[in-house]
Amino acid sequence: MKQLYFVRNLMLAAGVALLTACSATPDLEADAEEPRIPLPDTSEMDPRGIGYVDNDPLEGFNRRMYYFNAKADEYVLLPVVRGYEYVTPEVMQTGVNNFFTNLGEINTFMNSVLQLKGERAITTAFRFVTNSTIGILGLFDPATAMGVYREKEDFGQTLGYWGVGDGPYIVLPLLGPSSARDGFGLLVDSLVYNEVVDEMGLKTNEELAMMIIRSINARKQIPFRYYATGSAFEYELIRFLYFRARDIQIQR
Amino acid sequence: MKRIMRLGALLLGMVGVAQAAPTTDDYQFPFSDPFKATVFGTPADFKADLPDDIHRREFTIDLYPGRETPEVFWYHEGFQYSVVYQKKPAPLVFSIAGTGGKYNGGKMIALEKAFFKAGYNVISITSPTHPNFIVSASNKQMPGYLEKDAEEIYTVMEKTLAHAQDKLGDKLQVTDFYLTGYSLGGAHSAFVSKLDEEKKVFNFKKVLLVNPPVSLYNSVVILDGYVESVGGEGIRNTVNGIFDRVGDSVSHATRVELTPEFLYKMFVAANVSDQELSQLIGLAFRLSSTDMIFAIDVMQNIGALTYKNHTISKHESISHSFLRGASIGFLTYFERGMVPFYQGRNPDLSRADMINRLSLKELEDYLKSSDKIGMVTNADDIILAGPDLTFLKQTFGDRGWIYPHGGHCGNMDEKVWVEDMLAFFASSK
Repeated sequence: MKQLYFVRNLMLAAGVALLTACSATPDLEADAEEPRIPLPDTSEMDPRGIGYVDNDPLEGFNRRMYYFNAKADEYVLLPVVRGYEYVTPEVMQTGVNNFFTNLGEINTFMNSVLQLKGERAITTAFRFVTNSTIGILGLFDPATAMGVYREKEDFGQTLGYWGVGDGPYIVLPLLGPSSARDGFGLLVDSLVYNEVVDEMGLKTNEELAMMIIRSINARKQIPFRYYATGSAFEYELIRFLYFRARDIQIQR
Repeated sequence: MKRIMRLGALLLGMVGVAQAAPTTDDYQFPFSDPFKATVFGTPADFKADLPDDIHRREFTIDLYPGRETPEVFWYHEGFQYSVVYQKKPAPLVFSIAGTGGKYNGGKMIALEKAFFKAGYNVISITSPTHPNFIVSASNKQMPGYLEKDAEEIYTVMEKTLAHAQDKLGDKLQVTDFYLTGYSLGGAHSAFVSKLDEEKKVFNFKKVLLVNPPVSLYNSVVILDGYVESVGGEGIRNTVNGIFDRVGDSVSHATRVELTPEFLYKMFVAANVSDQELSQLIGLAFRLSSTDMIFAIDVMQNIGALTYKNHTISKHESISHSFLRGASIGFLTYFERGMVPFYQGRNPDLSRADMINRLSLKELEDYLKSSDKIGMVTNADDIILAGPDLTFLKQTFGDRGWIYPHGGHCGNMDEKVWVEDMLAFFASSK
């Protein structure tokens, strides 16, 4: 586990270095001319509206990370996911997804409690206990069959629930769109998750294997493909949708 | 009650299809509202039963080996298309996407599946208005002039066919050629078919225009009007309002799933009004035009949305170009892009001439006399202006058929629609 922490810290350090170093402002040639269609007046615009977002001060870093993620997706993640799908029977893929989803219930439980959502905490606890026992360590999902549906709460949502604004937009390495608040939330959630995994008493290489399978499964569950629409403004649209989607999640 | 409604639909249907070829009696489309039909499409229960598992490949072809792709379009290196193959001798349908549409859009995939099931090969072609076409397949890079677009589409058809045959060998054996396209792709099909009468490479046996515009200019005025009538601020408020209500319906849902079906349900539950739906249609159209204008701008160094004489790096912010582009629409593109561009090549061409040329009326005689060309549309298609429907009826006669409801392309995977469409193509075999 120590090596993993080391890698993560290294990435964090590299990230901080990048954050401060890059810019998204055009580096204009001497004979460049101002675009002929004037820039609409943004002073009256909703800073969260479609087409105009005023909370991306790290855009230079974010765009580089977005590009990096698109390339990582194309050359590493998606081929690995395809390989995984090819060699793994579908029943097992579902089992793997159920297993990690079940582990995730612990985070949802904790955050439901922190948001004083009693009913949600109880149904989540019920799901975790049922699926861990009858569902054989979470490989199956009998709770859903019983009509107790899964909810998702993370620490970013908890902070949002208590009125913390999302702060600047941040594109995280490999994980994609996030915000200062949600990025911090993710860190807290992973610390809790890691504690849970520690309790399982796995060896370092087993933990590593589990982390890899978890990542592959996580990517497999997201149907998004970079530049699938071919729009040059995908970055803008995703940024807009990210904040709207998070608002909806917090509202629930 | 259901029986009365069916009878009503039947009566309406009879009015709409008085002179149409296939009978549309069994047609039961749930939305009689054209805006709902256009945005929501065909609900699952009414969809044709189409196979998911078909023989299909996607390829990228380098059509301009010498041309360097601008850095900002690093993901448009090469022209992308798909081919559906039967692994035995079979006819091939070329299918052309609508405005801003890509070869793998939802409607294109539905057509591929329907054709595959009926025993055809298919090559799906991205619209000349899509950035991928502009960046990697276009020579003039000023789309919208139907006749000139047709020339470029024709070249793309020849090259993708040769490429696909080279890649697939025996799996793709073509006996005859057919052609179709929806929306703007329908208008393109007419001009491609006309061009084929001279070039005679494909000798299309049947050509079907699906929900074509009659006059491009008039259709653009309608679609741009949805945005212009409320302005940018109005659109933003509408979008925000819809998201707020979707948020409300999500917070009251018993079960949250991240599936298209769930999002569809939430969207329907948000009770979006016709006024708002029309603005969403206008917005979708505006996003397409922004993408298109940006691509043209970058390729031609025009300096409309981008800095002239400036190479955009792949990490550079282009949000300013998006804001500029979204503030104008297809009409501005026509007036300030197309008209001067084509007048520069042909000074005798007036603006009025151009409006006339971007219309099916330009081909009226050909469309009237050519037995192989059919047309299908809906009586409530929103892109048709007043006399357009009558023009379509008179021009295509019994080679055209019109459903009472479906809006603009909202019924393209409906059961009866698919049957009638396939029957049209089969009638020449």
